[in-house]
Amino acid sequence: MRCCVDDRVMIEYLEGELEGPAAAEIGQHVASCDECHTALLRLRAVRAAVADRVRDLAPPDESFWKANLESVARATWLKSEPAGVVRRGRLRKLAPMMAVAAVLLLALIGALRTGAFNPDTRRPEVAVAGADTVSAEALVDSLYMLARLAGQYQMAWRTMESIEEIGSSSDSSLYDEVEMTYPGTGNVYDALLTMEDEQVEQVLYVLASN
Amino acid sequence: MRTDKQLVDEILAGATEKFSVLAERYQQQVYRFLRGMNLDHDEAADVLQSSLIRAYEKLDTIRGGERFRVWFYTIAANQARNYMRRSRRDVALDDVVLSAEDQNPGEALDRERMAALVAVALGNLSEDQRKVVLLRIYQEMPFSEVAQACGISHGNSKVIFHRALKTLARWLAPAMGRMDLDYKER
Ligand SMILES: [Zn+2]
Repeated sequence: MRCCVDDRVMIEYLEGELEGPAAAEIGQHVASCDECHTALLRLRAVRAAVADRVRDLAPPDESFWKANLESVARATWLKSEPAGVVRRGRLRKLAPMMAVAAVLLLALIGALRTGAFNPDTRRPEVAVAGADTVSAEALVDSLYMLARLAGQYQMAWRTMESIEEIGSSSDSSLYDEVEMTYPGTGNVYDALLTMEDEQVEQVLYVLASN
Repeated sequence: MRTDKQLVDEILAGATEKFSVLAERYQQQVYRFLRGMNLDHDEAADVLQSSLIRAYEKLDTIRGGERFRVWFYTIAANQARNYMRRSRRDVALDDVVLSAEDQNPGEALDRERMAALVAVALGNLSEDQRKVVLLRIYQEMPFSEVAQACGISHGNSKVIFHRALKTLARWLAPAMGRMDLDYKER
């Protein structure tokens, strides 16, 4: 493609890398010069052929992508945290009473998980420092029902799993007892910090309906 | 829809499961990019997976302003390089070009043969050229991002692209002669 417009300029033009006036000039020339017009069309055709070649590759089916995501999940976030994860206390956004109530919900979740909670048998031990304005007993009951109604048992499991992960660094086993301190640095409190916004919202929603 | 930046921030703030959203967002296009780099399916699948794992592990090294997509292509291209070093494939461009010339003149080269020819031509570019061409043409990245993903200067990315496109045009000329020049990118 030897012609009046330099190859390099032609490619710049093709790629939209020329400034307005320069582009307009080439555009006008190309419109009136057959040789340059053909050269431009060829370059464009090469470009299109390359794009098509990659697009036309037979894509793997759905199951391949799904399996890939699963393998990646197992090797990444299901296994460990990436470096540099900074956990910020979302709990700070919660009003103190809400936070207490949220701790109670977690205690309840713990109780569900350990099987300690059964309406027919004993109530879980719930002790919260500074919870003067909250009737623990009443809250636990209503939260339990609401949580069940909202089908949040699965969420409870997930939360418990993250509590366990945190708990595993200390010796206390959450299977045996749910340890609570507020606003200290106990396991459950820490676990609240790992809750997703959505979960915290759900907790708040549940609390608001009380 | 959450932006990549939002997702990265959320993952680094502890919502690690959100990494699956990023992985799902990019797995298909990166797979194709890797196939374009001349890896076969198994190799591309392998590189895709190891790139995603590496991206997760190194996520905190994305610095301000750098975008996940470009950064992820950098990782994928580097991981692919290890593969390409191990299995060097030499494709005979001449054979394919000649066979394209054999076809009846005046007859448009069918899509399949054109694709095969382009594949071989891409395979004969240098690795850097191929990478730049694919990022620019298939991934439609601006040169600034191509440069970032390849770890080269902005000017250099353009020079490499220009050379590669000219080379491709020369190699594909015999086929292009009969190619429908109104051929449009879909
Ligand atoms: Zn001209």
